[in-house]
Amino acid sequence: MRGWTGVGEGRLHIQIGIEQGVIVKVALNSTRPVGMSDALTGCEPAAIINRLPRLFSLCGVAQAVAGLTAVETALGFTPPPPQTAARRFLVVAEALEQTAWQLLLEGPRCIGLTPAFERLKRLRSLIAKLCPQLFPDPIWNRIGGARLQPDQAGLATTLAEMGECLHPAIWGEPALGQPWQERRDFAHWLDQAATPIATLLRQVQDCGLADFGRCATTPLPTFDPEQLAQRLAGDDGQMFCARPDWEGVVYETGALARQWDEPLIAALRADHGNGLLTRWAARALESRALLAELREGLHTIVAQPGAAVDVTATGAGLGVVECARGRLAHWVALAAGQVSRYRILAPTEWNLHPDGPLFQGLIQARTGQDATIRHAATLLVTALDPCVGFDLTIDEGS
Amino acid sequence: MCIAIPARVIAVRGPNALVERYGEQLEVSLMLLAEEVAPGDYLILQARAWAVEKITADEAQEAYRLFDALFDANTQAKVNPAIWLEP
Repeated sequence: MRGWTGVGEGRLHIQIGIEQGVIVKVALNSTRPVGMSDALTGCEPAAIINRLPRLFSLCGVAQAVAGLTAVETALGFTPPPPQTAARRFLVVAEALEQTAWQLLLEGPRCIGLTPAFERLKRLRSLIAKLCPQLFPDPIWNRIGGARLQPDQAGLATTLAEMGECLHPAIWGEPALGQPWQERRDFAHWLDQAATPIATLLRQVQDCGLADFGRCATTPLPTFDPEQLAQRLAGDDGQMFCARPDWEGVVYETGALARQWDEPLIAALRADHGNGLLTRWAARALESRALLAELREGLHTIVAQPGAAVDVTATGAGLGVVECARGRLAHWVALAAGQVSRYRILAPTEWNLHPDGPLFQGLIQARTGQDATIRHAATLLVTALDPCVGFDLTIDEGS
Repeated sequence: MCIAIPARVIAVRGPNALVERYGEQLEVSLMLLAEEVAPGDYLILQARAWAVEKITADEAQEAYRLFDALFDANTQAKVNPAIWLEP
């Protein structure tokens, strides 16, 4: 560790200017380092795959899978379906942990509740059991696939325990019904439930913040892989990776984008757009969808030995993964077994884009009568879930 | 992106720890960590506030080598600039 005093993962500094109760100015100042991927140039593919989970603290599994997919594509190798399914399983489990983090820790902190530490700790310990239940050897992120030997009974038990841990902490008692489909059931649940996310949503509703952050930004559409690969390959100055657009439009990605067309979320959007009530409700629904995906995914994972792959080839490849914060893309060019260029497009760059949902949701916003701008903005930034911490400065004299 | 710079534990204070990395000291919560922590251990943090993983000294040194190279290539002049936007 050399003398780079004070360097770190960086921080998001958000400055808001208010006039007569309306946000008229928004400054987004990020000190997150850019150009991370340049440090991978010159490496051998296997070294990169080993390093990715160590470079990233929040979505290490998703980063590793995006990297694996990109490298294997560049090498002309298509992993067998069970390997792909097992990797996806681990990505979804990681996304569930981060979603629970928002619902049990960050969300409650926004409204002054004590986070559900023990529940989150328990969930994290259960999720940590999944990887060795799939891959008996220590290294799962191997080019060509690692030895896959799923302990189906053990995995099913772990998933059941995860559900028993998470469901009551988010949805409460079974007697409160199934509030994740019909608007009427959701309203009933919102009146009755005492879980942290229900308390948060009720406060958002009662303080007149249901529409706060509402803007016209829509979900990121499906990428055309060739088109995305071209953008990343030609991104010399990394401006696309830092401030992406798709055909000139800035989109959002993440939980709300994925839950956009769910009946409950569509109904909430009809009344509140993509404001706070819809955003946080989508986060709660996301936890349920991720757990369901894990249960369904389990049946597609069977034993598979992995394969040896010639890593000296030349080529380029793209890996796209839906992870906790949204869509993550890695692109790699290999020349004679070494990385000649690497690019990473992270989901946070869409959501914190200068013309993205955070900026568009804040500018011209005003709060309800029982809420402050600081409280509302904190809820919005937290709902968008940037991958670094943030500071919020409010200038009421601008 | 959420880079994972290891932090060395200087002192344990109940449910928190004082940690240091690249000359910066932080007070972090140990509430989500399953393992016991002692001074000299290395931790991975989330959002500069929560210890989420304990790693070995060898893993930490390997990570520091990676981040030294990264910061050599990405001086602080190369971070995202401030953006002021108005409607």
